Amino acid sequence: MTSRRFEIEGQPDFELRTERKKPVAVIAEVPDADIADGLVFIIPGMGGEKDADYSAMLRRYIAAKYNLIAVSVDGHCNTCRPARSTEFGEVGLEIEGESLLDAVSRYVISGGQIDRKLETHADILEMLRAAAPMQFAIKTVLNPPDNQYQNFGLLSAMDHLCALNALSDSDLHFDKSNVLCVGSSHGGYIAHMMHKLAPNSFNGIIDASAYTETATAFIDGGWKEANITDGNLIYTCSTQQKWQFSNPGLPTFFGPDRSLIRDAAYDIHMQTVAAAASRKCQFRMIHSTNDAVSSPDLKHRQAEMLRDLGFDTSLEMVGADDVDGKFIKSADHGMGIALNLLFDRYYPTIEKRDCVTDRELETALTFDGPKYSYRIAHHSSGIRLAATCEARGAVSSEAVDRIAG
Amino acid sequence: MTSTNETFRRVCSIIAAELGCLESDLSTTTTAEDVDGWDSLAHARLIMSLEDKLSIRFPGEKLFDLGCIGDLVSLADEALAPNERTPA
Repeated sequence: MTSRRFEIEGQPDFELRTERKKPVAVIAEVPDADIADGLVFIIPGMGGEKDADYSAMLRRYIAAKYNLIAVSVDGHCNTCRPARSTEFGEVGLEIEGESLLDAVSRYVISGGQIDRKLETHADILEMLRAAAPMQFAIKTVLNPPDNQYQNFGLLSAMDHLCALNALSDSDLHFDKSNVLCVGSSHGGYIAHMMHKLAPNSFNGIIDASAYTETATAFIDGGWKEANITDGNLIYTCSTQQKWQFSNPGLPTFFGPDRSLIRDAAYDIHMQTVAAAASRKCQFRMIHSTNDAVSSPDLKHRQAEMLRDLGFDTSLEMVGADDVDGKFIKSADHGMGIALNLLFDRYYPTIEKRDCVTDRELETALTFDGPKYSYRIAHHSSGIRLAATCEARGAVSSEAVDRIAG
Repeated sequence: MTSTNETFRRVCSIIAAELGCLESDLSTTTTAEDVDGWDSLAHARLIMSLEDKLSIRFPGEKLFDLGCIGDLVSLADEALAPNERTPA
């Protein structure tokens, strides 16, 4: 078994019309067989699954056990949380000054003495730490490496598709009809987005606790994305943003079009996907009825819609009674399910089916929103996809009604 | 001293260093659940450390199937055997 590391061109941000500053890193664990039985993208959520040692071990495990090329991609904004060890760079923490002043005010009002020179943020944090057990919430921006920002899924999905193109063009040999994705939470969501943009390229999508649409807390800059606790200091975090919600005239406005293209369960778009799929992907999903991050109702709706559109779909809903301490460790978001166990459980249920890939078909998809039309096209050569987002001639009243409803 | 005993000692030493526990608390039947902090991320770190320090490579398909320290020792012994074989 060998580990290969590639760098590829990432997809430009075609909504905000900016090029990528750095190439996208791809790591592939390649089994010993002359031809692998397929390829699987392992897509972690925002948590500990991104740990470098864990990721490396997971790739080796899946590659060896299933004769699949196991791939990790440093897709856009992949690194947006601090981690013990990373394969793809580190996130920076930028403390919001006003929030720090608020914390100092609280400290003083509660009787705390300013007993040292406060020249840097570190000085202030040290003083606040010494005031334990009094707790302080401090707003913090998570800055991904290379000036990236929270695009929310679309660019990351396209980066993974670029990686698939690059790997298909490489000297690695694998069954191109058996390409899969496995992911939990945000990783599972990206997997569904990859299928939305490339309906003929995937034989199976396996997800745990994947949301179906944009999680607002990740893009509204409202400091509710994550809490990082450091003793008595609680950093309330948002990832670096370019989206805004106040000026619809700017491309950075996160309006209905931005939301709908990122909705992996928007039925109008998914009808387009189903119509373009010459071979239908198989979906294996598991979700908790107690999930407070990703709505169980929306997950049910997604599963029903996929079935109605002819996709082979299973959704296992689990609750507190199903916690076994081994496969399901909690009934919360993510359910504590390890990605190796998730893959072990569902990969054997996915049948191998022949396909013609999106590149071979040169699949072209149009996803309309009320104001913009998104067009995604696959070409038989080249790594990047052709992607545009152009204003529509007239606003679709049907789309507006749907959103209003 | 048998190879297994020596391997057991070396494996326990590495586990203790990685997880901050006492070597004397570890036995062949100790499982991850018996040691504070031995979660899936710590397990990955531990496996990488064992491979690095013992100059071995565990079989990929077994990486998550290591139920107790005895399993780790057996696998380490299997992996060490070719390395430590004396040329004829």
